[in-house]
Formats: sequence, structure tokens, C-alpha cells
Amino acid sequence: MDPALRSYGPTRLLAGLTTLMLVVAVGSIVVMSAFRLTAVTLGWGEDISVHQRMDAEMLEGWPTDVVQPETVAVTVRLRGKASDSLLALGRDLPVVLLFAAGLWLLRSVAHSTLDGDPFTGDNVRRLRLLGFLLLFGVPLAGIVSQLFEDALARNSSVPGLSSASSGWVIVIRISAWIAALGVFVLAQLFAHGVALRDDIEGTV
Amino acid sequence: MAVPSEQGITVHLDEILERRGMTLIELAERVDVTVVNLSVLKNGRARAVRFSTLAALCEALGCQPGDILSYVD
Repeated sequence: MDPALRSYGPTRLLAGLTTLMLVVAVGSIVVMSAFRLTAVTLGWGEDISVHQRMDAEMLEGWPTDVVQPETVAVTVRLRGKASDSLLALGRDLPVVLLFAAGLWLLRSVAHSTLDGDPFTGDNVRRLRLLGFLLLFGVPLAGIVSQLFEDALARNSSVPGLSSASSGWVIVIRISAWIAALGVFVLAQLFAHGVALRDDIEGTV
Repeated sequence: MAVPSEQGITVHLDEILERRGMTLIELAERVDVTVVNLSVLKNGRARAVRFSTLAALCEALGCQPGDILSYVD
């Protein structure tokens, strides 16, 4: 067997990376939540970026060969009230929470490999859960975020703009579903590994 | 006395070792199998035996597979 395949180096690297990203994700959740809840509690307003769409005809000077779309994506600065900070938190939190949950599962799988035994029922369950997070969690988080975004957009004072709901939500779901398929395949490989390992155990 | 495994296979290693005047540790060294694994085999807790292990045992003990293993329905 190729000695490189036995090296724990890549696994340590991946375990370290997932841990680092998890720390960043959790840190973001804590900071974001603390800031926005403090803003709500103390009645601060804050500048909130709201994603909306603008009629492309409102723009002038399109180059000749450029195909002019119906609408263009814009980011509007909303000088929000305290309640808008809550809406912004509701918009931003679902995706980051989902990201943190996925990283937690991946980190657990990577660390079980460092512990010497990745082919366990626990890892099969973790990978399947990750698959379901991608399959259902991503679209759901996208929808929840979009609902809060739309609520923020209604408070936007710029005339002529519409909600940002568009095909990008569908694009995210498709890529997430493809990733989910990959993860489910990986979970089945692990399940097969558990069965193979089980067969070998007790073999003299 | 040899205890049959849950599959009904009885391993007669104890009896053969006693006849040969050999210890389990000596046998383990000769067949290159750990004492732990030989103990698992001897006590009927093994789930499978490799042909290579069986052949090594037969060579070390000077016997046939049927001398080491028997089946009780």
C-alpha cells in the first residue's frame, strides 16, 4: 500500500481546517447576535445592507454589445431602526447556523479518523445528517433568509426597487442537492466500510 | 474442555497443545499470530479463520485441520 495513504498529515490538516472554520463560524454567530441584540435593546439604528433588484431601464449608458437584463441586483444601504436589526439578524443567522452545523459534523468525522477508527456507525449517521442538512436545510435557510430580506426591503426608502427574490435561490438548492447526493454516497461507502470492518473483526 | 462457538465449531487447540507439550505463547511465536488472537480462537470466540492461519497451525502442530476443528450440529 502506498505509504502516503497511511499518513495522518492530510487528515490532521483537514481536521485543523474544519476546526478553524467552525471557530470562525461560531465566533461570527456570537458577535453578530450580540451586536444586533444590543442594538435592539438599546434602540440603536445601524446601517444595514439590503439586497434588492432595480429595473435595468433606470440605468443609462449600457455598452452596445451588452445584453440588457430586465433587472439588476443592487445593494441598498438602509439606515435601519432597532427592529430592522432584528430582521437583519433573522436574515443572516440561518445560513451561518447551517454552515456551523455542517462544519461540526465534518470536524467530528475528521477527528474520528485521527482517533484511528473512522468506519463507525456514528460517522455514517453524521454523514447522512449532513446530507439532509444540504438537501433540506440549505433551501429552508435560503427561504427563511429571503423572507427576512423581503421584510427589510419593504422598509427601504429607495423608490422603484423590488425584492431580491430571484433564481439565485434555486441555483443554490441545485448545487446543495448535488453536494447532498455526494455526501449520501460517501455515507453509504462508510456504511459498507463498517460492514467490512465488522466482518474482519474476530477473524484470526 | 473446548467450548463450541455460536456457529457450532469446536476448536481443540487446548488438547493438541497439551499432547505436544507446547504453550500458547510458544505456538503464537511459531505461527506468527498474536497470543490474544490465538486465545480468541481457542476459546471459541473467533468468527473466521484465515487459511494462512490454519495452515500455519497445522504445520506447527503437525496435524490436519480436522484435528483442530470439529463441527457439532
